[in-house]
Amino acid sequence: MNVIVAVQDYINRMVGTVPGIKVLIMDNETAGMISMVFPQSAILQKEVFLFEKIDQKRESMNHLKAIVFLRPTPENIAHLVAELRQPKYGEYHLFFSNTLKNILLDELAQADEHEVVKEVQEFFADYYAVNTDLASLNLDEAMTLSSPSWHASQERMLEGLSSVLLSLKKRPFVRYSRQSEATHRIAQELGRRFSQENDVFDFRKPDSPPLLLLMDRRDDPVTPLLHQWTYQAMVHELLGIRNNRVDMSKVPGIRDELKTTIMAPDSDQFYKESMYKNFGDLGAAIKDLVDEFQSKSKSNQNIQSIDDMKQFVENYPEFRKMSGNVSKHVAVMSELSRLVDRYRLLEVSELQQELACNHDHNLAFKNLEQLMIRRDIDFRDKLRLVLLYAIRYEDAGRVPEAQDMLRRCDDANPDKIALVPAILEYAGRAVRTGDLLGNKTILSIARSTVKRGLTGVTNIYTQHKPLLHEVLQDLARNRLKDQVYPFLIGQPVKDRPQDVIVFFIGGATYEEALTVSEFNLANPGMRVVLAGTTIHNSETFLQELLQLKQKSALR
Amino acid sequence: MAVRVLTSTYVDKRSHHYHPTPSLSGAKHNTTVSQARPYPHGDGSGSMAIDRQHHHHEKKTPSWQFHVDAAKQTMTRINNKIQELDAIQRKHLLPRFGGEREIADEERSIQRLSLDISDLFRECHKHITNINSSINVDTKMEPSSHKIVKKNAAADLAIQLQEMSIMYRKQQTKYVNAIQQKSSSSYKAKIIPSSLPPSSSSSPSVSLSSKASTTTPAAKSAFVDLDSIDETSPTNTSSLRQQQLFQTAQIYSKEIDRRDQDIQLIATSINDLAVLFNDLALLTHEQGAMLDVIEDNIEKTDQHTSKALDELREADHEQKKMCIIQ
Repeated sequence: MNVIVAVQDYINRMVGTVPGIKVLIMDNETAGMISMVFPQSAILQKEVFLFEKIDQKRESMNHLKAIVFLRPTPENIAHLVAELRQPKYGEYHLFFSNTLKNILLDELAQADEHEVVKEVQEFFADYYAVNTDLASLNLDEAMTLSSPSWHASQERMLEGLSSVLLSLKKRPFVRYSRQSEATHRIAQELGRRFSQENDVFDFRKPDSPPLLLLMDRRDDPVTPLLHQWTYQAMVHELLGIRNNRVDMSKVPGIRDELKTTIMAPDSDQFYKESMYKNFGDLGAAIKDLVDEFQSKSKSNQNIQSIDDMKQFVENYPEFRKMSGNVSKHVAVMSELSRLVDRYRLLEVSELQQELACNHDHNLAFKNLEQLMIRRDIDFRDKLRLVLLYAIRYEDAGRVPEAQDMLRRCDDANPDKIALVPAILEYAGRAVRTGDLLGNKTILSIARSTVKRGLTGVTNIYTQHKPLLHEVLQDLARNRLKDQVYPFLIGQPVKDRPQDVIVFFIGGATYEEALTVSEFNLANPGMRVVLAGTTIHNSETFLQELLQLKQKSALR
Repeated sequence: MAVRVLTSTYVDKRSHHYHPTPSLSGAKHNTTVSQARPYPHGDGSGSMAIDRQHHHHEKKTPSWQFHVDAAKQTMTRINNKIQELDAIQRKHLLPRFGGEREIADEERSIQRLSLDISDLFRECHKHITNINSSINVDTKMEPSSHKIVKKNAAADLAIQLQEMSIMYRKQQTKYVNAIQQKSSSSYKAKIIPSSLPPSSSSSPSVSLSSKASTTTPAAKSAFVDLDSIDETSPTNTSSLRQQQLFQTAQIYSKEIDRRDQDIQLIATSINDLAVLFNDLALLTHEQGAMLDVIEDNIEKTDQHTSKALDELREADHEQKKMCIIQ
């Protein structure tokens, strides 16, 4: 169950089966999807020598064959229809990333006067494969049913989700979150889709049927607000990763070629090994990398005989690649360090973790007060602290006080302060499924205190475990309660599922991706893939919440 | 992974729409389509335009594509020859006793194959440079996407060729090292043999191309000769001593011949190097010319900008004067 390999397989089939020189036509989204899993050099090897977008003006080249990979949207079909009437290339092979409606297929057939279309297929690679076990739909504004653009998003969500399932060849049982109307709706629509598209969802039934678990971001609003200390999550939190690209143009003193860096686990061995390392281990790993690089470059400087010259020329391309890689990671790492120092993130994160994991109101409030009056901490971080406080201690009655503390800050932003009540409306205790804070029942309170007391904590900055962690553990022990996560169709399955796909409506986070990856390593009998409408960091999460508050009327 | 094939449905719909009987040949299709609906194109009559379109579809291979195909063919041939060479070299490395003729035959075929391979490499390289040069020729008449296609095709072929040549070079160095090891392991404390290893070790290090293999027969045959010396030395009669001297003299002359060959090799390799450096100098020179042009343009821009600034200032001044007057 590897989403990167799944998309790669589709693309391999697309370009591998057609001989001759080809041009690849994509739209904006499919171009992003392909670029995440297939570096350009690999596609060049398959004799695809030109890459174009469907909506751009192109010259006519009859000796080329066109491989067209598009999302089956009406706009794309309109462009394609116009092109088929005056074909620019010798042959067209059409691949759509999702189900193509019959009327659109009709339109295409009508337009194909010159019979240049040689094949039409649906290849269900309609999502962005970020890691081997993480997929995203890059869909903003999809938080709740009351989001203004829910209907459009719902369709895209269903298409994306079904394409994830089809590319992994799974027809799973569906479980959703009881309190979340959004997950229930999606579950129902998905069930309907399974029966409508029965022909493609027809897979051999495995011994233990797979499971799709629909979760809602509101069940765990704490995780996206926290500062992260593992490499991939940290880069996304502080710099932002979009389609495996990091925008470093605002970094002071950055070299031009590093302005947009690519951080992809598939093509970067070092990144793949250190994605989940925490900041301390990461520093050590980068130091090792730099040492290795230095020793290699020293040996290169020692060219004495023609033999050495020959060796140097042979090893030079690898050396170049390594030097590019090293400078990229060193630049990213130094920027992260700079930001950590500048915004005093170590102290902020300490309090964040305290608020997220421990339950001691007086202490928490005191620490909060102390941090709020400090001027060297950014307003955004103070806001997040208050939000975390509000989520945990919403019943303690001092939330308005905390809001006042925010208002008294120098760089206060009144719109953002309104997020405090907003987050309670969106994800307060009343609307959450499951037991985020471990304090719904006496048993769970006891369990959490005992656990904390006994095991202690190895690293206070990474002690938080997202709600997903508990859910996966329950799944592994086959004890995920039906009352909390009911099945869509009754209660069909008693066995522990082997393949699990978890889909977060409202967005997943890299910390949860870390949890999934660790779980997969620790439980070799199960394989979990995480998907979400998007991948949040604290800023994108708060931005969506703000839009939600501003555009719609929350009850 | 799951796919859904819509091709047959599509073709059905298409043929339904255009003509009840789906036609497969180009010419027939021409006439049927032109009868079914007039081609709404601006230039020329309906059927003519469609003929032209189809004609375009028939004309498939432009000239540079021929080079691409030729380059690919050459690369497959290179691959085959490399494998052949590898097989013979492996056989050559196996320990053998006697069979001088067989060994000489093998050496000759090794040499021949290596020369063939380097010729093929050069041919392939020529094809790739042809593709590249066809890019620069017509800059105005050719749209940029054509250029991109050619560039990408050339880049891809160049990468493949480079990888192949690196692999080949590595293979040859391994073979040479193996030969060296074999010959050096047989050398005991003898004056004669001590002169031989330097020659066989220095010559392969000089060869930048396939010609390394021609030096190894030297080491190999020396090994065979020394064996014969070893066997004859214990029996110490004077006639044998004379024979020994004669044989060593023979070995010396053979050695000299081989050294001569090796030096020739070095000379050709350095020639290759010279050609390489010449090419490099040419490229740098061209780029230098371009940089000069760029610098020129930027200076002119600078001058123009400062003139423009002056003009603007004056214009402003004049405008103010007008306002005051008014």
